[in-house]
Amino acid sequence: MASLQGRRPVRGKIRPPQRKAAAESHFESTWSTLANAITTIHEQKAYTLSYEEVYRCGYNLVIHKCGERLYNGTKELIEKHLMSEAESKIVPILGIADTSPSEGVQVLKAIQRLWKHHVTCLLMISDILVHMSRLPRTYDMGLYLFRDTVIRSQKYPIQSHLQKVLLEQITLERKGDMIDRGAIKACTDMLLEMKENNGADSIYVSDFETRFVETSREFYRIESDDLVRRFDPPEYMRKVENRLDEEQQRCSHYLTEKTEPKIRMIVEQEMIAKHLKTVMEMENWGLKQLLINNRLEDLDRMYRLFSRVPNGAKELQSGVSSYIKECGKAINTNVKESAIENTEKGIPLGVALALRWVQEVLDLKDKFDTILNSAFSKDKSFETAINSAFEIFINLNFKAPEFMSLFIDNKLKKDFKGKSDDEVDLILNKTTTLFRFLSDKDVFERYYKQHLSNRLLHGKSLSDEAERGMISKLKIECGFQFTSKLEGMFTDMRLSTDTMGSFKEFLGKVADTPPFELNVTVLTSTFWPISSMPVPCNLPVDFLAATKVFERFYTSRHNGRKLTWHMTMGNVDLRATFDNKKHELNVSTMAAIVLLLFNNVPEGESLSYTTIEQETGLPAENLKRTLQSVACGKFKVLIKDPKSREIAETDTFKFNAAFSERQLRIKIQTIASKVESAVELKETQEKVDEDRKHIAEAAIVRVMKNRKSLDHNNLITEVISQLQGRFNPAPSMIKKRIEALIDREYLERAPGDRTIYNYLA
Amino acid sequence: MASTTPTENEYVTLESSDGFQFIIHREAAMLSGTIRNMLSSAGQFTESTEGVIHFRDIKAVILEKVCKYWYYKARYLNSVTEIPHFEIEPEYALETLMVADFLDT
Repeated sequence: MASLQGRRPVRGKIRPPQRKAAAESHFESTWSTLANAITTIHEQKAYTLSYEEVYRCGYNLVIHKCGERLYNGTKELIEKHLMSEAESKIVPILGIADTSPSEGVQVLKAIQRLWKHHVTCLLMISDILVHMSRLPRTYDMGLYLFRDTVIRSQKYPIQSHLQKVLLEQITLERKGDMIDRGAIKACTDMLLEMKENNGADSIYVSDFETRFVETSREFYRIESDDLVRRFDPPEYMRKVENRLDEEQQRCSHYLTEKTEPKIRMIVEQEMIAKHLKTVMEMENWGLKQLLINNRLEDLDRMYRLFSRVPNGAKELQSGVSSYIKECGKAINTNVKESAIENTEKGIPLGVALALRWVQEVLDLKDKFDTILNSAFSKDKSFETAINSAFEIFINLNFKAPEFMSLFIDNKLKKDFKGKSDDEVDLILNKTTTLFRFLSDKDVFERYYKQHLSNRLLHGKSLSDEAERGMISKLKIECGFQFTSKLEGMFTDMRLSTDTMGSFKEFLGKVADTPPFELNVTVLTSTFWPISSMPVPCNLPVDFLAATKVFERFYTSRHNGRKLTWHMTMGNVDLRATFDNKKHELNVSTMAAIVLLLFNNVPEGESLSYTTIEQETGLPAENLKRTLQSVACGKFKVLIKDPKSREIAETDTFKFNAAFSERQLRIKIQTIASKVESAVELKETQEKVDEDRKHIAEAAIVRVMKNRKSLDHNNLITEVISQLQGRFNPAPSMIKKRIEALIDREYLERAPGDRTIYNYLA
Repeated sequence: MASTTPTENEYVTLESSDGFQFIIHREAAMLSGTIRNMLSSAGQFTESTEGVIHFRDIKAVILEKVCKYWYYKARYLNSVTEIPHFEIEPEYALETLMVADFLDT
């Protein structure tokens, strides 16, 4: 009663309470009442008791300082009761567990019954002996008693039987039998309820869980060895997954959540970690077969299971990436073999080869993208592993940059006809991902420039938009610097169209208009992959006059600019009169020059190779190619004597007056862009190397200008990191550049320390 | 609160040592820890089956005081208004205190 009020004046006297005689006899009589009561409770006849009476007894004993004795007495009583119960109800049936595992559940049930009864009684007793709570709690005391007299009984092997039965039951269930989950659940709950002496940990851990974990490890060790031998990996993994599910359910149904991580770890270790390699490298349906056959579901399962164990993901990644490398190598050698085959047959390395290579790589990439997305749940580390595997094998093919550029060239020239913007974009995007894997991006740039200039100058590009789309993608990948020249090429093309507009106006005003239409494309020499030295040739007079007119026009508008004519790059429309028919021929400027020579030759006469060479002034290589295209190609405007594929210097040529074709307009192509020959390749490589020198020097100077003074190793690292976007520079190459810069007095070695460079402004 | 009506489930009867019966709301009586245990313990004691509790150690005067207190507490429990004092005559104070401890109130 809390709100007693004491400030009022005292009326009357407070009498001392009646003192009860705390005599020994009093304790004896009160205790015997209580002891009787407890026995009655144990006999489940509590309804005959008066709570008030029993409670009062307990209360009085406690307030008369007999709590200690009361406590001990109660303890003794309960202990005695438990002893006799265990002896009469549990011990006789312990034997059952030994004879038949499936009947073992009887033992569990008996222990369970005793436990339930005990707990009910305990609750009632602790209700009565509320006041004893000043001592250790009655209820806890009861639990300890049960633990020590029943479960861990010294006299009877109850503990070991309990464990044995529990474990046997679980093993039975693992083997597929139905068991009484309720009984086990009750037992584990009971074990959880009882605490160790420290009052915190339940005896579940020491009396059951440890043993459980041990036997489970043993079980799964045997089981996994057995399964791995009997089943193929997909089936094995399905089984493992089932086991993991089962164990998880087991824990949530009748063990405890706390056991789950432990048991899960065991299954993972025994069934996954120990068999990683075996499963992956299995002959039939190992990782490789799964990848080959695109078994997404199985791969997904493998990924999920392997990710559970340390190193599992890593092993899987290396497995995947070695498979990719294998595929890549196969693609590479395939291409190389057919290349060798073709060279042996004398067929030049076709564009088809490049296309096939890129297409195969793209297909492989597509395949692994699907696998990554649907089986590896877009795991970042897998993405990296896959990408680096691609990077490695792509860069193993030293022609990769050229092949890719050719692939794009082909797409932009032919394949994009009639395709929607989205489709085009998709293909370009894919190519860009491959491009990302290239380490020699500058080599690619060189080829791309070459191919782009061909497309632009010969008007072969199908869609300006697609071209620009590709360039902007490259720009995103490699930055402004990479594409600035490519964009410059586009600008030149646009400006040239404008210039031609004004040139036509200009022509209207001057007298010496050339007798044919002249189209000039003015190119900025630094943007285009054209050698600064034009191929020499002797132009017919008409041509020469026309160029002079244009030069006059151009210098009048842009003072100080120098025009260099590249005759070899252009083409000419000729109207040729044959015996039966007139044809319009579209030929290269060089071919036109050659053909025009025949205007002055009497009919039926022929010109020798040497005459043509002298008249045109063309270098032998170009001349031969030109002659080949007009005399040995599909359209034979000239007749060569003797007839053969190759041009010899002793050959003679005659105008083919009998030439006739169905269509009026004929386009005679010079030999188209091909995969480069060995010599050309070497040239390109040299050019690239030369470029790289400049780029590397520029990078060194940039770094040094910034730092003023830096030691050798740091300088190399910085330069490499700057250049990596374009190509992978070798440290030795950078070292040479540094030495060159020292020679030219951009840098010097620090006087005291030879490893440090200083920047000289 | 003299003994007139028979006990219902809603009520419990408390009997003092000198034979007085107090029939009060079960809810009010349950404010005592002891009585709560008595009536709701898992083992059905005689008190909970019969609905009569015989206090052999408590005199009617005190028991009445205690009953009053339970109603007082029930009335003002969770109340936000100002709570009036609960009057206890000094001559009963000590005994009331002891009973209160016994009843865990």
